[in-house]
Amino acid sequence: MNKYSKITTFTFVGFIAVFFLLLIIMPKSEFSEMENRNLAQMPKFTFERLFNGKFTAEFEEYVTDQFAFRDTWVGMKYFFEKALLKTENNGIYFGKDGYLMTKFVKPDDSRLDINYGVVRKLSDSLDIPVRFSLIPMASYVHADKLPGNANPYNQQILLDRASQMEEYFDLSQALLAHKDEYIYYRTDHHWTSDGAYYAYEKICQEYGMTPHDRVLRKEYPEFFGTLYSNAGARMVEPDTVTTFMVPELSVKDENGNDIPLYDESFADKKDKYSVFFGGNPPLVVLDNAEIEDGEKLLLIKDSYSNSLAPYLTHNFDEIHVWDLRANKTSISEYVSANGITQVLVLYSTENFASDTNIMFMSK
Amino acid sequence: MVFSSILFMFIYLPCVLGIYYALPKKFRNGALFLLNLIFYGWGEPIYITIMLLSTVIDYTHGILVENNLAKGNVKKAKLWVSSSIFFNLLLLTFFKYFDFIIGNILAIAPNLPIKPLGLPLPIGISFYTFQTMSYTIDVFRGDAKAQRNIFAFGSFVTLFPQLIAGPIIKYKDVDDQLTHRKESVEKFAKGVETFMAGLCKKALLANNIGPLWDSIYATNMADQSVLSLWLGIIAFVLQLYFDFSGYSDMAIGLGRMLGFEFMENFNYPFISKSITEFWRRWHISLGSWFREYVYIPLGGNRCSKARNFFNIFVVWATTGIWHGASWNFLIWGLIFAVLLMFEKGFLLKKLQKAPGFIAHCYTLFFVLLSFVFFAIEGMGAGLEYMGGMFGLNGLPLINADFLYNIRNYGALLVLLFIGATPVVKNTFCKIRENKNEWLVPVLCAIGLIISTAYLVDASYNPFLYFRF
Repeated sequence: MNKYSKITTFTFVGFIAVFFLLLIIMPKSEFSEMENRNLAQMPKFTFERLFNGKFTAEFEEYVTDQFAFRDTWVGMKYFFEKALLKTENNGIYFGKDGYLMTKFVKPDDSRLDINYGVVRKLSDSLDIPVRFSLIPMASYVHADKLPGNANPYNQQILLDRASQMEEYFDLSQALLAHKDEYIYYRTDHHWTSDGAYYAYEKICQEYGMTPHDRVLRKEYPEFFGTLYSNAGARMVEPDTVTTFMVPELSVKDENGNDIPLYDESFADKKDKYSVFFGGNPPLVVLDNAEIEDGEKLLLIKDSYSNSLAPYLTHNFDEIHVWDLRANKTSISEYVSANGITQVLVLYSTENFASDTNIMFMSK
Repeated sequence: MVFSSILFMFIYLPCVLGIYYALPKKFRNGALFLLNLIFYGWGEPIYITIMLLSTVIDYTHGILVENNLAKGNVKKAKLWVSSSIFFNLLLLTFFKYFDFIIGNILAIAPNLPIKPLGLPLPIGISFYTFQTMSYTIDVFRGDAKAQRNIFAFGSFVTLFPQLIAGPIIKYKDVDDQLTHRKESVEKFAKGVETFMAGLCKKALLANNIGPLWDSIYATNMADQSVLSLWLGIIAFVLQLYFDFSGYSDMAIGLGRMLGFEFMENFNYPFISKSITEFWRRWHISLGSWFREYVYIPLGGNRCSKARNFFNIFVVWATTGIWHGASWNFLIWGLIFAVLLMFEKGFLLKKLQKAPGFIAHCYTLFFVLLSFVFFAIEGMGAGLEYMGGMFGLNGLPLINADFLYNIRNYGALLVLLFIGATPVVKNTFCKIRENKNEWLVPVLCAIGLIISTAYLVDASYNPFLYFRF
């Protein structure tokens, strides 16, 4: 008998048997920080669930989610892709200067019609000023950092369409003016607090207010963001999340409970951008204790504004930060019940072009 | 369940091998039958019933044919063969073509009170109905004995390695193996080699070139360039080849692990020097099935030229529509019918005299063109795509997307081109001859590790915002 036949057989059978056993004996993970989601657990068995196919589908999810050393395998695949000289992995570009960038895909036209239309509808239904702007993604401002000949969907089309609307004011130029600075994270899809600050200056200008200088509060280094996760990237330079001082504030959630503006519990977690508000609560009310009878702003936003809102607290009496993904109650009722005087609709281009919750704005 | 998944590789396969080899020989067919049904029913448990029905009906038909032949009652035997073919074709037609036929009737007469059923296609139905048809025909022709052991027969019908994507096995080829196969470490190790070659083809090559075709196909025609369209169809054909041949290799490898020996299904089709040769190297088991059970019974080429061309036409129309219930597959098959008629007429002789380079270019050119209709459903879209390949829509020769794709996929494409030729296999054989056989398990381990990384990554699903 050929001894290499034995070794080959042993290698193969050993490999699949070891991972089979590991799946049985390894403790099950509940949550994946890399994927930012709960992992599938052993599904419940009933004959009904078996025959309608639910059990088998969930069991497969369970097996793949709980596969031993899952994140290590994903990282290995990233290196294999690098070795193949790929310029992207899992839909994330490997840009220049260590920048990972979302590959912006052509949005659905009917979604765009709905989302642009609903901003106008909101504006028509309220008798207070509604302003609207879009925050370009890094691949717009840092187009020169894209891999050669990369040709993602042109965000200018989205900005141009928005600029036809009387509610719109432009932020993209304010960001482009600082494109050589650290205004977008390298490993995350958000802008940095610097990027948000340049937008803040522009917003103040729009509202006829004076932007405040900022005082550094705290830095959160070693931040590996969502693009890092999505690309399955390894061994890249981490980002730093920075927070700045705010005036004396009360910060309340949708139930009127006090919540921290900067949630320190995320300081040691992977998702450090969630230091701002601890993620995306349905509603956060920021009340500046030093300003009375000032402007009360309703900010309808995605997560980009989480790092912007702290700056705005210097200028507004109250800021009501509204996240449509978690809050689908009536905006018009809320506006009249809370004496709102200004509405600002602020989205990143990518979310504005794809989010299916934006249509609830005019409810 | 598909082979290139974590579930199959690390749960199902270890269980199958463990149970199979733990049992004494006489229980292995029964166990295999049950394990096959689990494999088959994983996605659609309800379709196990079709499988069982199919097994029982073909089992009894085989015996009825043989018993009648033994009694000298050929007429009755013929009747039972026809009944078996009818049943298998009925099954296939109902599940695969019913909605297509209804759709076409409705297109002509929209007011008829019929509507499509929208049933999910039972996986592998095109493959196993062909296999079971071969069984009764082989018994009738005296090429095989009827299988009296229902577990042995059941494990043939439902055999998981080739159940869902072939190779299409003729019963007479595995007849003896069902009851008298020999498992051995040498055979198992050979099976591992073949399986690993297939897994790497599927998980590393096919799955990675797929997105190139997807992205080019998804681009508006106005934003394309001529070279992008060529690159797109090249990516599609390479994906299809590595996907399908990889799957066949995995099936053959798994078969060997269980002691079976199946026929090869692909033999480097892209090195062909004619379309005739291409089809001797591409999906061999399907071609040989059609030759044996359709082409030759119709008279093959031992008849008038006109009749021969008619036979070619019938075989390729059915081959085309076998690949999918829509018109584009029929067109795809008929393109080959025309090309093969030309080659039979005069072209083949010319090609044999022409320089090899010319013959290769001719073959690849027409293979790529014909597969446009395989890739794209809808005649209009297919013709538009093909027109674009020749610059008919006023497209630029080249654009940024093309350059980006070449940059991003360049190294992979080189690997695919090399992988489509016998170079890798020849090198591997040399390694073996030169007493470097220790490399075999090493390569096998490397292949396993890289493939596992890609399989795990395929299920990797990060969220930007926390989901509950």
